[in-house]
Formats: sequence, structure tokens, C-alpha cells
Amino acid sequence: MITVKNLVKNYEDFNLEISMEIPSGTVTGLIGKNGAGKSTTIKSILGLIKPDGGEVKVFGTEASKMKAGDKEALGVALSDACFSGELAVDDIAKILKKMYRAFDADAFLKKCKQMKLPKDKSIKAFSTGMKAKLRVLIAMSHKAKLLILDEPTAGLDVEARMDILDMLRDYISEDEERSILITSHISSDLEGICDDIYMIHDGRVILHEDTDTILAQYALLKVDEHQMEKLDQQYILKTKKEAFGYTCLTNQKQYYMENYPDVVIENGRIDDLILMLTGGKR
Amino acid sequence: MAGLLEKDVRLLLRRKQTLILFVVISLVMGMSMDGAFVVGYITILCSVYSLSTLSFDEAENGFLFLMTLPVERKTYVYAKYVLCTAAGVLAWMFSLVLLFVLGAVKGITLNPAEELLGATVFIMFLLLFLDLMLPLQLKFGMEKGRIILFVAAGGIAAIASVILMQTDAPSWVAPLVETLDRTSPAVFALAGIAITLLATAVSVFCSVHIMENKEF
Repeated sequence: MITVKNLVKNYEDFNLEISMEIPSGTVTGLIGKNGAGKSTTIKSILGLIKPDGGEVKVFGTEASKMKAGDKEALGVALSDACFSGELAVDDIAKILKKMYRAFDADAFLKKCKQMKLPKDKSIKAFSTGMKAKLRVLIAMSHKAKLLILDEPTAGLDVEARMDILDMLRDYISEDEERSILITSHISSDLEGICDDIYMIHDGRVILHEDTDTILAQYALLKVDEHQMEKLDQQYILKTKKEAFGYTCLTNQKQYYMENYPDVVIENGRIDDLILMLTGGKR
Repeated sequence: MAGLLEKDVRLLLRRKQTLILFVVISLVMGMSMDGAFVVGYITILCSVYSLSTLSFDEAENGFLFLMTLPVERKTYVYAKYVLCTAAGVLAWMFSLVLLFVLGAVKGITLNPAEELLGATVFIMFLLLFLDLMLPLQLKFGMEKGRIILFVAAGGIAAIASVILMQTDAPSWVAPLVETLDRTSPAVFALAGIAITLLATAVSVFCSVHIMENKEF
């Protein structure tokens, strides 16, 4: 659905150079610290900025040349960007009806009601959680083949986050051809929904792995100086000095569990990966 | 384009107080002022009001979101020209009706053909106004666009007055004035229409170019 090949975007103090692919029927997570290049990547995919090199194709069409008809197959929810706050849900339903052939106004208004979004109140009076839910509902309102969601759960409480993630799971289960590209700072959200993860740091992809692989095979080894000396380093990806000794990141958990029974081994989580891969020493 | 126009009309209708104020101003001016001025004022006022939808699109990353919808950049530009022109023309028609109704109330007999012909000039002014404002505001944003327009207009006026104060009128001015005096109103009207259409075509082309090159 999306092919990003050697995309280059240069700013005065930042340079993005990445490649990635999002096939149909997958949920792909894009993670990284603030300023890593996630938003620039998403803007390039949406044709909102022009690449300085490489190519970005969405449904086989160059992103910046997408026609209105191509964009109908996209559902987009960007953090802090939506219709004017002066409008109400009722207005938005009427606008979307004229924009998308597949828009179902009744279903949209029904879902808004389920999510307790008043239909005649200006959006500017909505809480952060209500606005986030509305953004995602708009993205899902027209049977899009591909959802692109930038921080859809940012700033929300646990209940609102779970509501949004449930909505996304339902959406993807309705049609196995549908795909989602999602960015989030909340790694547990991504662990629960993504099939694969791209990690971006300083404008480069530093990891691309299936989520199941990350959770099953990546681990943190907590070792003291003595254990470190004896530790087989060939499967250690990164090492970080700690007060007690070292924390080592590996993608061969089973190997160390079998061969080093006295070493403390913690399951790898996405947060740990971010911290280790962007901060530790190789 | 239909979706964008729906959005803009709904945004304009959301500001009911401004619309009511607009009608009150029209009535007060219609009762107390010269007819032609009222038509021009109301037409441009309404057009400026419809231009304000650009501010809503600019605010809260609105452009960023709008460009993710099934809308091409040039369609956005066309929709703005259609909206602002339609708003101006509707206001123009409203002000003409108001002119005749208030004329009847005040007991003034108006010649419909004469008034209509005179008022048509304001449609040209309306288009020329939009031809200038839309590309400027798309390029620089609402606030900067307005400032640049005022600075440019002031600069041109200052340069013109300095030139006029320091030199005698060039030799070609007098024959030109004579020729213009001899020209029939029909030729003037046709020239006005041609200039307006040409300016609009250039303005739309520039606006599309500005939008196509914008990064969000």
C-alpha cells in the first residue's frame, strides 16, 4: 500500500533518509523520540511536503500526485489537526458526505453518539479525549483502505485510549485488506495492535521488526562486571553502563536463558528498545 | 469542491452575529447614504467576510488537515474564488434590492436600467479586489497578506505623489485624456470586462501555483 524508497528530506538542522514498506492487511507502528522524523515521514507519505530525493508511493501513485479519487481510500487522523473548531459534528457529517462517496452519515453519527460526542456542539468546546475520538472516527468514516494515524492516543486517559484501540481493532477486522500506519509515544498501545514496528532515530530507520519477534526474542540482560566479562557478545545489540554493572540488549533471549541461567533476563519491551537503541553503546 | 464550499458556508453561517450586524449596517447605510456607495460598500464587505474563511483554514493546522481530504490543491483555490465571488455577487444583488426598496420607502424614483448599469461596475471592482487579495493571502497568510497589501498600496501612492509633485505632466498625457474623452461608454465597458477577466485568469493561475508549491 505504501512504498517509501530512499526518501530524503533536508531541513536546516535535520535530515531524513528512510525506506519502508507497508503491505496490505498489516498494522505498522512508527516509533521514535520527539524530532526523530515520524511526522516528516507521515507528511511525505501524505504528499504534504516535497521530498528532496527518493520516492514515496501510495497505492502505486507518487504521493504528491495523488488525485482526489486516490485520497478517498485514505483515512487520516493527525495530532492537533482537524476541521475548524467552530464546526459541530453535524456540520462535519454533511461536509464528509460531499467529500467521500463511501461516507455513511448514519453510521458516523451513531458512532459519535456511542462515543458521547454531542452532534450540535462546536468542536472547540470538546475535551482533548473527545477531539481525539472524533479525529479517529472521521478517518474511519468512509471505509478507507489505509488509515494513517499520527499520535491518535496522545494525551488521553486509559479508558479513552482503550476505546480508540478497540475501534481500530474492529476496523481492521472488518476487512483483511485494510492497513494502518500508526505513530505513538505510548509503546503499550503499539505492542497491543501492531504487526510490525519501524523505529526511527535522527531521521534513520534503526530497527524494523515484527512485534511478536520483539516481544518474544528481545530481552534485557542485567549483568555485573564479572558476568559481563564472561558474557558471549555476539548477540548483544547494545550495552549501557549502569550503577550495578551493565544492561545489554539482545535479540536472542533464548540463547542467554539457556547458557547463562544466573543472569537476570527481562523481557524486551518497545520502551526498552527505544532507550537502548537510541542511547546505549554497541 | 462541493465539500469545501459546504464547509465554508457552514463556517460563515456559524457566525450569526456578524451576519445580523451586516444586515443592520446595510439598512442604516441604505437609509442615509448615496445608493452607488452603498452597493459598492456592501459588496466588498461581504466579500471580505467570505475571505475570512481562509483564517479558519489557517488556524489549528487546518490546511494540514484539509489537504489530507480528497481535495486537490487547485480545487481548494477554485473553491475560494467561487465562494468569495458568489458571496460578493449575492451581497451585490441584496444591496440592489435594498436600494430600490428603500428608494420606494423614501419616495425617490430610480431608473432601474441606469442603477443596474452603474452597479455593474462594482462586480468588476469585486473581482479585481479578490484577484489581488486571494493570492496575497494564500502566499503570506491572512495577517501578513493584509499588511503587505497596505504597505504596497501606501508605497505606490507615495511614489506617485512624489513624481507628480516634482515633474510636469509628460507630453503624452494630454492626447491620452483627449482620446479617452472621445471613447464611447460601450468600449470602456468592454475594456473593463476584458481587463477584469484577464486579471482573474492571472490571479487564479498565481494562486494555484502558490498552493501547489506550499508545504504543510
